[in-house]
Amino acid sequence: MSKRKKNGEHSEGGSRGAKIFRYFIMLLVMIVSVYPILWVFISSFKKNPGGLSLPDEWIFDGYVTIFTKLDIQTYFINSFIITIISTVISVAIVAMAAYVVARMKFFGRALVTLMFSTTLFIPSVSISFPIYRLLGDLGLKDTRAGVIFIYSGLGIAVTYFILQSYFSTIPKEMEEAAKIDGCGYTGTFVRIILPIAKPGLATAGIMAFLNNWNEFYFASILLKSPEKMTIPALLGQFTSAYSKNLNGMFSAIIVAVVPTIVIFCLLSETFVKSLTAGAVKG
Amino acid sequence: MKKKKSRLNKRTGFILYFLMPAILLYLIIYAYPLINIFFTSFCEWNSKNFVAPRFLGWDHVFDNYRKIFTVDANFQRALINSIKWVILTMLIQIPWSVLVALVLSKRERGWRMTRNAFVIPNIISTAAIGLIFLNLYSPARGIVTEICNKIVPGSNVSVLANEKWAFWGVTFSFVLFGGSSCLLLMTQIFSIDPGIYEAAKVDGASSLQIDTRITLPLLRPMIGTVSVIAANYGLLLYNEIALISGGGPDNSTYSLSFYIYKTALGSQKLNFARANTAGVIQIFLGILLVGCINRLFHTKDGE
Amino acid sequence: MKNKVFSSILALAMTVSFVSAAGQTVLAADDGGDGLPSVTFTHGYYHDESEWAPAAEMRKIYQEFADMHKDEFTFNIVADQGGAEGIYNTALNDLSSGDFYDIADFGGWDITEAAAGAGAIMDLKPYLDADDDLKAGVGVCYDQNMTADGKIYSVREQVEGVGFWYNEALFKEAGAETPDMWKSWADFDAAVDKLVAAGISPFSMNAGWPTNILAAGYSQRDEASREFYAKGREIESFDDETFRQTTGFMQKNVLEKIDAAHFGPGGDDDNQYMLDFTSGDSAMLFNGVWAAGDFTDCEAGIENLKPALFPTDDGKKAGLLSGGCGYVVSDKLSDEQKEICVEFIKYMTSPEIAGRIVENGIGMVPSTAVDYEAAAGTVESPAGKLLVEACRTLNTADIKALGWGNNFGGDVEGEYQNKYAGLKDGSKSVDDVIKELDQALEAAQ
Repeated sequence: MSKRKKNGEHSEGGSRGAKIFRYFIMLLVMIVSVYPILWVFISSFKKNPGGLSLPDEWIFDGYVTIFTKLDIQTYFINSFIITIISTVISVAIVAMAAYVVARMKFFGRALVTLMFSTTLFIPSVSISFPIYRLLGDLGLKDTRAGVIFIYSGLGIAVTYFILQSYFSTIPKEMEEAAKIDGCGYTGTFVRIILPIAKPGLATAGIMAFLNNWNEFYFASILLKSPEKMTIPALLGQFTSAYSKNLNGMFSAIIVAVVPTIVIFCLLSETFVKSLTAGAVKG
Repeated sequence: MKKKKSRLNKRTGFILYFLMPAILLYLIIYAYPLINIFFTSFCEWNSKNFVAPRFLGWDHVFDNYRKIFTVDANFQRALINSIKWVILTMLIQIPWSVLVALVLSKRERGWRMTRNAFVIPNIISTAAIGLIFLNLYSPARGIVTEICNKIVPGSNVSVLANEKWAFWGVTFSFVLFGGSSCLLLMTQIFSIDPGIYEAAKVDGASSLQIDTRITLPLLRPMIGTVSVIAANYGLLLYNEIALISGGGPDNSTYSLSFYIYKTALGSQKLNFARANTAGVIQIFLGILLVGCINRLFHTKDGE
Repeated sequence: MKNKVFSSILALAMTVSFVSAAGQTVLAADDGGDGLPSVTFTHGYYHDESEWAPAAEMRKIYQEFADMHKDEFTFNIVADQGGAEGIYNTALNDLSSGDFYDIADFGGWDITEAAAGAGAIMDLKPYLDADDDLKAGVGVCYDQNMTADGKIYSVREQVEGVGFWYNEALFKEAGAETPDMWKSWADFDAAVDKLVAAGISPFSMNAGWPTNILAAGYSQRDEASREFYAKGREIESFDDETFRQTTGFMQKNVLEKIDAAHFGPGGDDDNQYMLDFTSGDSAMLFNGVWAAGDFTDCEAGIENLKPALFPTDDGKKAGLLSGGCGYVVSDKLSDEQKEICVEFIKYMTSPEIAGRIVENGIGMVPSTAVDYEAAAGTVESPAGKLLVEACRTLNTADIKALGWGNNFGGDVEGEYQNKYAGLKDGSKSVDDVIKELDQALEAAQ
């Protein structure tokens, strides 16, 4: 037991029945999550995609056309630039507001939460005309900067909810100690709260990153030049271009999806490290 | 006295200073559309006067609301479906995500891989998920029909061609994918002080008891947060519908968001007034929902 | 201190915005900088040649126009990556902020009502009336696109020409009479029954496009039915005997004749009905003349595939021909720029370009000045020959009706095709469908 305690990476034990149950659930998760994509992956090598079986004959045509013809890395770089900058901006801005609301009583506090809540439910159809006009007026139509600006504001509600609930779990003694040490409000936030809240910030960041990474509606309205487009737009293009060629469409799905999965798996390791770092301090 | 006052001012300044960027962003991106949605829901605004919404007049001020609830069968269906989807996410996705989070937090061999796998359906774009399910459900090349035929030979099920099944077809394209909720919950579980567990173990608590008596109560605020996010997803369901069922068959899988899109941009009539009426209802419903969930999970947070 | 980080990030973002915005402006200024009048034309043929060869040919046609006139004016050509739908959506957004394209090809997405209501687009009728060649070039578009107050906001260089296709080998195998011999819809029924008896799926359908084509075709069966159909968007109730018959026919004689695997959910991505036909699994395909482009090297064998017209019960032959929304020109342009746009439309609808559109397998043209016999001689590819043949066949139709969606409008089209699944599995009766359609009409008021 004592050996396990020190090493947090291993099973925490439990009865045999509990173990079987856990593995059963894990298996279920694997099937539900991975099978659909695996099915597409296998089908993408079939001449006529579909069915349960393995391909009779392995066909690579779809992949060959995609890699030889499309400038995929441009799309990836665009997605990266747009998503990372907008995520950093929105997490930074929202973290400040969420901290204030979570830790301080002031007039209009509930109003701020209500304000963020409304953003969750505004239909994107209704928001698109004003945004389009705004970017037109700013001269940011069909620019990456315009999309970054909009993305910074799009997911603020989710980021806000995550950070607000995270900040409110941080023990109050931390701040009080800082105040006694002569830290100002800003100093407390920057030197005490932010380091403790790293796991929360990382989580909110990942959520915002994924949302922006996959956003399609505004990307398709605001970006018109092929050299500025993001990955989801690419997929939209694939479906119309390959609707007659299933082999191509299935390959396109895989090409659009696999790099995202790889990026996530790599990121998730850093993410876990920040989690354990937070757990020690919290 | 004097010192306290200056500290108070400093405090107010700090609050304003920290809230300002977020509020500014909100005002620029959301404030105008919000006001616009609300006012135009009392207007006539469609393809005939596309650039100039016209107020309906005080005698007819609630006409859009009256019509939407009396003659518009698509809206009524959309409203009922959206509420159903909210309930289903709460009943299926949330308990499922909590269960998986608890199981994975035991760090059995392969937990990381399972966690990553669970998040995959959430990180790839819904456009891809939509296409995948469209193909899975296709009677000609998908597997659902093939599997059903193996169980009941000759049943030839076509999920998306049947009104009742199509609803479940759409539901199962998202409801089991609780990966990001699970991730949030795991963050919270791992930040629980290990000392609490040690104490419980010393007292001889079983792992089930630890989960139900210690972890779950501590998880409550985070369950509230993921519930808000998931319920919001259920209420606003759009991509899955647009890509998989197209609202059909016979408009049986309309959601509020899909209705709004269809009524405004998806129709030759461009009936933005009616769409925004539904938008107002959607916003109110959403705020009500957040309020209810917050109360339910008691995410009251003091200073 | 962290605040500094926040502000520097913000500042960085701002800088990035302004730099790229500035870059944008510089580029824009470059375009028309040589003093010549300039017009920007936007189209949806963005596809790479290997995906869809007609797109490359269309771009070539546009470019030749620009090159031909490069000393007189600058004709900028922009391909929208979102296709015609993307152009339509952008146009709505533009309208809401008071802008519009100089000239764009809307490829069937009807922007005219909203744009005309906003006073953003110009009436082409005076130009069409003043020039007989231009009027001949736009063909059916002249009448079809004329609004109630006598304006024509859009014309198109292509029309949706629709009859249907059949697989002669499968008809022979089943011993069924081929569509070219049919004298009435009873012959259609007899052939369908023979095909079914031989274990061949007569057609593959979905809750949408192909099924609508057959419904529109059957609606041309006699004078009474045609009269009701021709009312189109003016229809106030679907409680009509001929419409009841059409719906009954769709249920009993069409949808109930095929199994679930040959009935898809419909929608843009549902092309199973095409695949079933080209793979030789179904005997008839309800799709436009352009489907010929997908027949090259197909399993069904291109030599077996033939175009056909719909029969009627009064000895005529019927086809569907719809213009729809195509070129739309901004009203904000100067007279000089408007002339350029009209010049371009004239070029696109000229017999020479019309011939190229047909010969390259791009589609059917409205122009009444095309010699299909001559075109058949110049085309070499089997698919191209088939397209020319289909266009020629369609031109011989006694009755040229609008397609289902163009006739009733997209909303009614959508409502009606929603009912196919219920009609097929018997959960809806013809009366249910008519009642629900009338409810939808009322709700849309």
